[in-house]
Amino acid sequence: MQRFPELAAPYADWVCADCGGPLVPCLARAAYMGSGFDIELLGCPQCRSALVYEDLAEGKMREVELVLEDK
Amino acid sequence: MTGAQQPAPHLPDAHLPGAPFFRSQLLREVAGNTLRPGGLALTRRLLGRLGLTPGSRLLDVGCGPGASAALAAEMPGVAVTALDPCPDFLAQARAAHPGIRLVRGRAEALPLASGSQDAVLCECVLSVTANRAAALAEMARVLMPQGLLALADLHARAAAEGASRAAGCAAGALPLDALLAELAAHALVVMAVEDHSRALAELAARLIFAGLPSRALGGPCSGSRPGYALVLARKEARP
Repeated sequence: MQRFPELAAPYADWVCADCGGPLVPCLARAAYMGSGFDIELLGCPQCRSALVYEDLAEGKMREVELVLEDK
Repeated sequence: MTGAQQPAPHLPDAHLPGAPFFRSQLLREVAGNTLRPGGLALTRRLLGRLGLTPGSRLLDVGCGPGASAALAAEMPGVAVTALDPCPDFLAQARAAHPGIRLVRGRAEALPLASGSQDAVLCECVLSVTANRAAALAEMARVLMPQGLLALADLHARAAAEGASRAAGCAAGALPLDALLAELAAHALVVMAVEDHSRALAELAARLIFAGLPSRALGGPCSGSRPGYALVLARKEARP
């Protein structure tokens, strides 16, 4: 499982928009075009939601999408 | 070292140029001990096509830490010889799989007798071998007539105009048709080719998540498009 502690750090004090509970490291599965990857994101275990960090979405996730699209 | 029919030549540790990616800790962490796309699943697929039976002799060229050789050695009665030029890899293979016959040597100078092997397994080696033609000639030499060569390797695919040259392990990859032509030039008749580029893309994706810049992979962000294929070839029986 891949962790991104440096990307998660700015969100350490965020809370869940639904229940107000603290976000904690959670296992998430990022899936795209039939491939899936286990990653760790901050999320709310109560509401089963995860926060995708902007830098992650626009950085590594974008690069991974391009690789998997194989264009 | 056991099983070599002549001593392996002395190999300086600087036999590989630069710091090859396949020896990086990052690749080990992401890909595991197979150090290549598809892991042992693709190795099982290759081994399953070789028709090995008790008494068969298999050479694993570029065995790395020995994961494939260990898998092959689980086949009843199959005599596996695993070869690699890197002392570190051989030490790791010896520690993890003490029952494997290990030989230090290079693909371009196999320390085995001609016609001594029923099959040769060569995964992700040719694309990082300095003299591919010499390596293929050696693999053909040690195969017995009608022996099988099982290859898994990167190949170059059409790159976008103005693309940068592929990097990492893909830097030495040939277009697939050129690779198949090289096999034919060494009396190795291609029997089957399977595209497994998806496995390469998934490994690249995991490496990117782990922190490797995609341009270091020669991937789409660099404009080049390496692929990955399994190739099964039979050594021609010559009168």
